[in-house]
Amino acid sequence: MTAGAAPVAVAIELLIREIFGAALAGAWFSLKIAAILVPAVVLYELLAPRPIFKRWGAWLGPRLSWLGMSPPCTLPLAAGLFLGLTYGAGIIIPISEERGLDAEEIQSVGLFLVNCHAVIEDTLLFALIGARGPGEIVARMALLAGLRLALAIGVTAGRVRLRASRTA
Amino acid sequence: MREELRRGLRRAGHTCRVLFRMTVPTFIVMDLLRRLGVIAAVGAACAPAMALFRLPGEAAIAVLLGYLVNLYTATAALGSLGLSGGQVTTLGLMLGLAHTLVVETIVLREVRARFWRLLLYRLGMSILAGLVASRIFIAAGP
Repeated sequence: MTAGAAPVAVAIELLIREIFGAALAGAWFSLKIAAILVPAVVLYELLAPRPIFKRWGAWLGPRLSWLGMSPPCTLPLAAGLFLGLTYGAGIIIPISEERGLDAEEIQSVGLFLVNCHAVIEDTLLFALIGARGPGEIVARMALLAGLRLALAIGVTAGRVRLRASRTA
Repeated sequence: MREELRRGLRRAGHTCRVLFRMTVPTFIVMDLLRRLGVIAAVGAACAPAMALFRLPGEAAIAVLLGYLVNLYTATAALGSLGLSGGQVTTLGLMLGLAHTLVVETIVLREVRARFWRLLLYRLGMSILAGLVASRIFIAAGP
């Protein structure tokens, strides 16, 4: 072994330790999120087909005109809200072909969902950073989800009003 | 019932795989960049812009990762900055409104929404919400 090899070996060992330590920290961070995310997603899938949610959807459908949408928009809206923008968009394509949604309705759904989608996953990621207990996690999730939902409703309804006043 | 359970577990498993695949490499890269002093340099360069949101300069990396890549990498980058609850809430709102912009904008184009308007709206609202939320949730610095 030459004289220069020892420092190189030490440096490589330090680098490997550094990488391993960071990977462990990353895995621990992921595990903490998974511990809440997995039960939440499973619970959503178990509860979504319950009759109470169907009744809720039936109630909501006609009221969506306020946001510039017709009742068939309920499904993509709910899917986007809980599962994510891609899911909502994936569902809107077949529905739009089947029921003939017009461009304005699709824009309304899009505007609503860019403000507020995947409310469980997205808010959970931020709620966990530096949180000191379940209370803080729940409070921060509720705050973030509530603000985004309020913005989604406000902006989408505002756009509909604005267009109506322009054409009137 | 069993079918729903299976579907829920499959979806959750998929999300966890994405989560691990994004988070572990981000932690490693961020750790090495921090050791090399890159994070500190970027932080110093971005400090004036981030000060508008009452955030440290280093948070700029998380904002850019969130805008361009996704929220998993953004939150992984935030984990080690030691931010206050109010700062995390502000970032959560900014990045909640605008994230994964490349992929999600392509998705919106696919459904034939007017995606350029939605993209501009998201960026504008993200910045506006950050300015307002920071005044509410973060105490003024020295």
